[in-house]
Amino acid sequence: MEVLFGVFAALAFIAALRLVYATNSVQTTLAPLIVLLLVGLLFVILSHEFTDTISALHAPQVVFYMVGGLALAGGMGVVFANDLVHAALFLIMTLLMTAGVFVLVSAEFLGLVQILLYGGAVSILIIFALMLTRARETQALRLNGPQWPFALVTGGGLGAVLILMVARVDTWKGLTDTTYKTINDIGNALFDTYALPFEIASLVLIVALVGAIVIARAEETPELPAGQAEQR
Amino acid sequence: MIPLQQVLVLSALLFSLGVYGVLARRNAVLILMSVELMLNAVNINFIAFAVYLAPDKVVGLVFAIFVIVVAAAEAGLALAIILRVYRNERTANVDEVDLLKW
Amino acid sequence: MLLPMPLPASALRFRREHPTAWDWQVAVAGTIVLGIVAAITAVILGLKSFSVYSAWLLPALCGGAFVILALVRNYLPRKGDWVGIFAITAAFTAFFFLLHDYLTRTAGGPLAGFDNSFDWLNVGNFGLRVGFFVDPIALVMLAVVTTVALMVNIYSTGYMHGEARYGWFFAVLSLFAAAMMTLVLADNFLLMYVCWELVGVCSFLLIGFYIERRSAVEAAKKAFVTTRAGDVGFLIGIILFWRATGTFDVQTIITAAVNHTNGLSGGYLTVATLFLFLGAMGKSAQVPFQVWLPDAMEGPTPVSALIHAATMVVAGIYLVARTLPIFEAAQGATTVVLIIGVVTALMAALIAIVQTDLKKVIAYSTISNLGFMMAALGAGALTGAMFHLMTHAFFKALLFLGAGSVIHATGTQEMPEMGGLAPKMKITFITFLVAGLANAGIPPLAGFWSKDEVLKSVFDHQNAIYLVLLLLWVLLSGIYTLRMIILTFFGRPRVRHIYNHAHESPPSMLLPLIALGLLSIAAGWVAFEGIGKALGFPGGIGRFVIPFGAEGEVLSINGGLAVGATIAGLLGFFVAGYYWWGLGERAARVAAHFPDLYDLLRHKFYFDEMYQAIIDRVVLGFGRVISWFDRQVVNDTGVDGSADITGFTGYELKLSETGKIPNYALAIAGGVVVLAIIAFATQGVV
Repeated sequence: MEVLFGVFAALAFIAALRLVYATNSVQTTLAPLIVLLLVGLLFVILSHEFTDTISALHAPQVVFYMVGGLALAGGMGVVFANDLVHAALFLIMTLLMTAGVFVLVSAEFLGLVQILLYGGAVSILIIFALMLTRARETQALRLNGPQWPFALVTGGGLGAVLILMVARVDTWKGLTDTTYKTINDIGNALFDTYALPFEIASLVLIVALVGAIVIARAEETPELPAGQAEQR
Repeated sequence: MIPLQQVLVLSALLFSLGVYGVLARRNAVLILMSVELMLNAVNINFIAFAVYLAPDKVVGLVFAIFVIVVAAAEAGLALAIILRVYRNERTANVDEVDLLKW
Repeated sequence: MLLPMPLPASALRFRREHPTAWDWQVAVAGTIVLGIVAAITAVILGLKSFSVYSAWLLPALCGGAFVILALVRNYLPRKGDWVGIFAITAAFTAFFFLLHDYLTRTAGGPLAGFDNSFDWLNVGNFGLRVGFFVDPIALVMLAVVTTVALMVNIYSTGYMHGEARYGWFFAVLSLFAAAMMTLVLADNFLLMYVCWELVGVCSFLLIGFYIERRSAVEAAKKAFVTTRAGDVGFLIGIILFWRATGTFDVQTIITAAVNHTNGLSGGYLTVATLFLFLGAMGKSAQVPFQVWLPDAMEGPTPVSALIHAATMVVAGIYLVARTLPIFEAAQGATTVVLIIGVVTALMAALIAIVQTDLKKVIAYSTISNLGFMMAALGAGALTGAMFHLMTHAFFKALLFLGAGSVIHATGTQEMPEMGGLAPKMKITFITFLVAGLANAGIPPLAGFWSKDEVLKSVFDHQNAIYLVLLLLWVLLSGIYTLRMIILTFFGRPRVRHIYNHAHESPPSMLLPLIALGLLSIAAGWVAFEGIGKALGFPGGIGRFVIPFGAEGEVLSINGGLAVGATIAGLLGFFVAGYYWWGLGERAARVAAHFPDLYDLLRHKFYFDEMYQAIIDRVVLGFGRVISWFDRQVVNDTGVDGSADITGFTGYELKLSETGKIPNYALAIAGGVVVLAIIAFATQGVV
């Protein structure tokens, strides 16, 4: 029952926000919140029909719906927004909401890591990239390419398969207990059992760092004239 | 408190949104953002399974940390490449970079 | 065939360059040289005690001559014609030694055959022995082959003088002699078949010797293809016999057939024997295979004399003679042979009466005599058939060589253009007349004795109808023979300038004529006991060539039959003289009275037209179907089609190479989704 409810909420979001994000207005940022609140209100109004279900709900679950809903709204913003910087901001929202989900399932440390790294570093990186590639000035009218129907089918199909799979597994039904892992446990694991992957991860970071510097380094020769871009 | 299936559904939906974004977006940076979206969805999945299904193991969380690390590294590298391509082709639009065309 | 033939180059050039013919002295000197060669050979062979087991030497000599001539003839003086002549002279001499040794070994006892064989190949269970088998039949054939080949070689030095590719002519003549000798000496069918085909190849090369002439090339092709059709039957027959007995050895097969062992009985034996006979029919120009021999006259006249009168065409007769016990053991085979022989003899004789080309008349006469020999074999007269083979070889070769002399002198082959040549070419005329009389069977010439022997056998053992038909044949032979002589040598010359230019031939051509003339007279006398014994034989030819399982007997003359045959021949002469003497207006009137019959004979019973129609409709039609299939299905659809499909597919597929990353990413993601759906659908929850 909860699964069905979650699916229904998500689909409502997809439908509503797709319509909303066809435009470029600033209000689009607020729209998901409004829609969410409206849906919540609707839910409360209709609650006397579903007394059992409602009484079964409790605070963490509702918070999860809101956080998850916002994450979905952010995800839809990333893929549907018509302005590049709006899309970047939506991404930041999604990342932060994901951190919220981590906290809700008792993995706080991961939530903090998520906020630090994603919200702090990756987002800035992306916005810098947008600036360096002069995205806003040269962006096209529509940011979605000509193959969006196929992408819709693919994404939709994948989502459908995954959700159906999740719904079929009997052992996962009604599982609600979470275990809390301390930082102690994680730290011990990192430096004891998983020390090798830890070191390799640091190596990966160094390689990425050096590689990024090498690739993005400015050429000694002057930039090629614009004629080269048309030479195709 | 939160049923596992709902968390998994959330993860699935985020993932498929990310897939759509990778395939449909034209700007290279937007594609990268969609990839970050997918990685996040995967992270939610890992952590959900680690917390709900493996009470005595911490491997899921550790792996999620590694995913975050690698995602960050890859984001940096990908953006470097995008900058390079932009410098050569004067465009960040992946539809216009078809030098391998027949 | 009424179109005038282009003249042989030698005739024109000879008349231009040598206003006076060669001296007789040169000719006699040449003969002396040959005699010396023969003597030396004799001494060598005598010293090495030439035996019956060295029979392989005869073909080997000629084979060696062929190899030498084929390789280095252009570097030898006179293009190496003396190499060929030396080889055949040596073979001729060696033959006498062979004969002597054979007679010595079989003196006072049965006339057995001597086998000299060796293992040729051994593959698993299959072993093949080849070798040489010497017996009276082989000796008679060898006599014929060596003698006529020697005469033709000497004659060719004169006739082919100045021709292009003179040396090659002698090379192929030597090859032919070698192949023919191996054929008659072979003791197993496989070797015989190989030599069978080899003589066919030589015939092809020699008929088409004048390669510039389209008609000659076509005639060579026709000869080869027609005999080939018969040879396929021959091969099938060999295989059938091998399948039953497991061997190719002739004597073994004969024994098995006579005793009806190894499954050689009834229908199987008859079928196999008739297949064997097909080969004989092809080579010996029996009906319906006779169409190649008249066209083979496109070759030079010495070739016609050697191959198409005396030796190659009698290979079929030899085959049947050799395997006659098989024919007699098979039911109905001898009847088939007899009927076909009689039909061939009569048909060819009828056609010969209306031919205008001199060589064609002699060609049809040959076919007719071959039919006669085949009929003799069918009647069981082995002795008579071999006897006639020998005498016929001599006088028919003489007829051809004489005709060659006439052609050489006048430059034409058409009898309507000749006439009255007797006073101008005396020696040629006399020898030609002798040969003609022998052909018609006038005593005491050779042809009379052999014909009479055959007729007597037919009378003794067969139905009277066959005898009547054969007597009719004798009559017809007389008609065309004298007609030929009258039109060529008697009467008033019809074309003046040809008559004026006619001259006697050089001695190199005349000496063989004389020699063969003497043989035509005397060869028949070996029928007599006394002469046979004087020559060292156990008796006359009747005691030499003995049918299988019979006792040798002296050839006796049935007086009434002899007289009847002679009268028939003379009657034929009278008819010919009555109609064709002078200007031949009586003959022309008769022809006008029966135009349809005349046309039938002139068109040789329309055999050529029938074959052409079959080839056009059946063979070429079938070929057109196959060609359509090859073009449409194999080439257009198969080869071109698959290439086109590949190209088209590539052309369409290349459009998926856009170079755009989103497209590639879509392909990857799509694939993953499809796999996920399939996994989910087939396995439930993964």
